[in-house]
Amino acid sequence: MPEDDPDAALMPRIADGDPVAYRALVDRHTDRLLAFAERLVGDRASAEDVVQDAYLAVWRTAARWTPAAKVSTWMYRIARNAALDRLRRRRPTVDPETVVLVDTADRADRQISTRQTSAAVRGALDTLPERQRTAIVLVHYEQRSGAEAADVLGVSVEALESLLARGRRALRAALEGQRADLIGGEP
Amino acid sequence: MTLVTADRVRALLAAYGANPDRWPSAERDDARRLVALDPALAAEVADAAAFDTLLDTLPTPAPSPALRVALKDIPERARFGWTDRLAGLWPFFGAPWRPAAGLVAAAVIGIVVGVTTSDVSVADTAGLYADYDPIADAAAMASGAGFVEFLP
Repeated sequence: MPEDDPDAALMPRIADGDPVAYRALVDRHTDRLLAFAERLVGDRASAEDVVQDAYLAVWRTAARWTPAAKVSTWMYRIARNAALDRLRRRRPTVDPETVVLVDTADRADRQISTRQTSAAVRGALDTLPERQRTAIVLVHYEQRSGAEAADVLGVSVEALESLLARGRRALRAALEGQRADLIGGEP
Repeated sequence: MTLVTADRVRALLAAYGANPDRWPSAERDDARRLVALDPALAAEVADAAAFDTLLDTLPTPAPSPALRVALKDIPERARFGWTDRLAGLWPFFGAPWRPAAGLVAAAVIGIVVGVTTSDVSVADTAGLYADYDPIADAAAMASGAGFVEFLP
């Protein structure tokens, strides 16, 4: 049992149908879960659907939860699979023209605002393979430990580090121009 | 005890970036000490930090008040399941279970007739309609034993 899991005590109460305990879980995790979902699926509406699916699943299946799984890890897993389902359903309608957001035009003429830079980061993140993207979102943005991120992905820590390194390398390549503009030097 | 080498620090930078808080706790202190003693490694840390800054330009989404309300309302909405909602739609006097029971009986008869007269078995069609169900998915992963990844 994860001894340092602050949510473990809530789960038996949620399983008994206690809405107060359930709402405490919502207060603790909604910010992170929404950010995780939005960074995976790329848009707010789908992310909100993912989070609602995840919490409904938690409410309905709390009685099945066992302390072998850290509650937050379990919730990230549910949200990840719900996000994967939405990405799968969206795939046939994706227009490649709309996802190429990294501008490779002459940098000398560009004044890149923070908004444009973040859009470039968003676009570059979207082009990563899903496992690499999930690894980077969990570790860099959600600040989950390597061990917990590996658990969410169902891989070893060594495999997670490989996903992270490949993902960061791909992002660096995609964002080379933006990086030079941001730090004021040549790439 | 783990032995952290310069190559291992480079691997940590490549995977986790420059913030030591993201490095594995067992290696963190040794890695920091090594960086402090090695100017070349310190330069690589600075380079990784600049890239972290770029990644951090992505804003952190915040849940809307409406989403928070909707999430907290899930127990209430879940309590009134589909049977309650159907009953609420029933426009006539009398219990709606009577015609519903008739429909169920007709469905059962139809399934029995269909299965016993069709050449296609249930096993043959089971894979055709498999779809994602977040409730079943969450239940399958709730024990923590055996990660289940939904594969599109």
